[in-house]
Amino acid sequence: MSALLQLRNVEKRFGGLQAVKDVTLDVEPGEIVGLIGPNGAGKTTLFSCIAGFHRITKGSIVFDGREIGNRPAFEVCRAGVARTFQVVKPFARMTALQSVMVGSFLRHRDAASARRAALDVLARLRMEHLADVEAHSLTLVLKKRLEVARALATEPRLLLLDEVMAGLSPGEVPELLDVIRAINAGGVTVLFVEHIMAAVMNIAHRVVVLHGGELLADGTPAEVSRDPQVIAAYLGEEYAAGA
Amino acid sequence: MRIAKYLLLAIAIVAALAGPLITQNSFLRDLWVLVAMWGAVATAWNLIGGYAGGLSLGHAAFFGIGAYTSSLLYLDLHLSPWLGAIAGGLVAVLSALVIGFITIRLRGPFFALATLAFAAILGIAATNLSALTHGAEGMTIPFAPALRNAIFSSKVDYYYVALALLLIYVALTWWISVSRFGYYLIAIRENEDAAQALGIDALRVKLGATLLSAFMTALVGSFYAQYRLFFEPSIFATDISVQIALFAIIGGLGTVWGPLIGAAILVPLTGELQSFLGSALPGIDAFVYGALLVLAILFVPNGFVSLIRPLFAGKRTPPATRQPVEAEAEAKT
Repeated sequence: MSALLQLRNVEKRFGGLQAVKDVTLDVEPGEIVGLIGPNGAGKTTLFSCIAGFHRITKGSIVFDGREIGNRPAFEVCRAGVARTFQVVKPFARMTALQSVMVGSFLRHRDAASARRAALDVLARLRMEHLADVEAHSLTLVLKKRLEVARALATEPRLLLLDEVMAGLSPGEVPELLDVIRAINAGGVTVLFVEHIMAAVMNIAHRVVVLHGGELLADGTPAEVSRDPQVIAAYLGEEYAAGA
Repeated sequence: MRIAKYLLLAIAIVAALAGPLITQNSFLRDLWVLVAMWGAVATAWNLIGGYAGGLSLGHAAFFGIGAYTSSLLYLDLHLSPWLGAIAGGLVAVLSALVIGFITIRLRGPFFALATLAFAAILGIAATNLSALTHGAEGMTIPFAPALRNAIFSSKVDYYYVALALLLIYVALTWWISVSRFGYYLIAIRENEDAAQALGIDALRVKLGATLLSAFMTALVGSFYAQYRLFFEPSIFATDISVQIALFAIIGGLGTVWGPLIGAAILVPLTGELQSFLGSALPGIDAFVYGALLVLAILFVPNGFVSLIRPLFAGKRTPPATRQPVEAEAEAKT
């Protein structure tokens, strides 16, 4: 079986700064892959390259057999890759339902069926009771969840989640993990960036570690958490001792 | 609330249909025509300026293109202005395509400045290409009332033409506001990056809105030419572009009825101020007008449409704010 997403020697330079260096990575259909690494490791930049928000300076990005590297963001989305933003970008004066409808209109031309699809997505994200609330009056946590709903409404095959759990209280994390698992069980492959290690270890089938723009490790959560290089670069000795 | 809503609607319909018939006063009848006409232009502007969030300060360009195209075709080739208006709309679409291609990538104030410059360039061109446009002396259309000429002896006839345009534009805006295109325009206005991430080709959608808006504006420009039977290159002037934008802003940006409400308030206001105050002290009417605009923007920032909207807001859920996540479970019933 060929990978759903294939990154080959992807490089991204901003002038003299090399944010992503020679990253080669496969994501198989149905996987949940966690992307971790210290701040400034290039995780969000890599996301933006995949989603068409940054041009790559070298390499290739193939999704479902099609080159999507350096294609505009809307084309990447239409091809089946949806993303959320680490810094939320709400449609402030739209309600939650309307925001999600913007996403569902991609596969549903008429308003009635886009609305049904959007309500369905809101229910899956457990926020259907917030349908008529304007996006600007939601809490940051709910704004992040609305980002997921919007992205999911485009009916992607690959979902890129950029720190959607940041800011959640420990009690709220398991609920969102359940939601993500359910999305994955529905046939959506998930690639996510996260700093909450407990969440990453809990949900990821595979963990990829970026450090200084380079791929440092790639393996199961257990393998990666034992990797001495990863411990030195990111997890720290304390985590290794505790694990 | 229900009754108030239908009562208001009924009054509005009767007023719109019978309005200019209750008076013989030519000045008042002119006001009715102008409200419908500027209401239509502001409604057209609202598609790009209100829904898509692209503050155009150059809509006089499309208005003038419509006026010049239909008038030139009428005077030089004897083409009926009804058809000339369509031709004017198409010329406006072509020019919007060219200017849109250049400016649509520009965000915020840069887009506004580019559209401002576009209208200014056309004004200069109209003044200097006198072989074609009669230059600064302007275009005079001989008074020859006939349906084919789109010239009428009664202002009431003009009013119904303007009203028809206005109603079509308002209906079109309503239809857009509940369809995919409208959602896309608002999404682009609220956050262009997020819109792109949801599969929206933002440049194309914005360009589409600009072309449609240009076409609609040019039709009204042709109407204006046939109504006034005289215009000059000042039709491209910045103050006309600004007026168009102001009608929509004061009435309510990105709303179906806002631009019409804005025109219905501001058009008579300018006329009245001029006739009551104009002779007292030169320029005082413009000063009072400006002061009133400032007050309106300070105290009714969402436009006058926001004052009557509660009447129409049927079964809206109360504006919930900052609901804690914990409350979600109980709220699911």
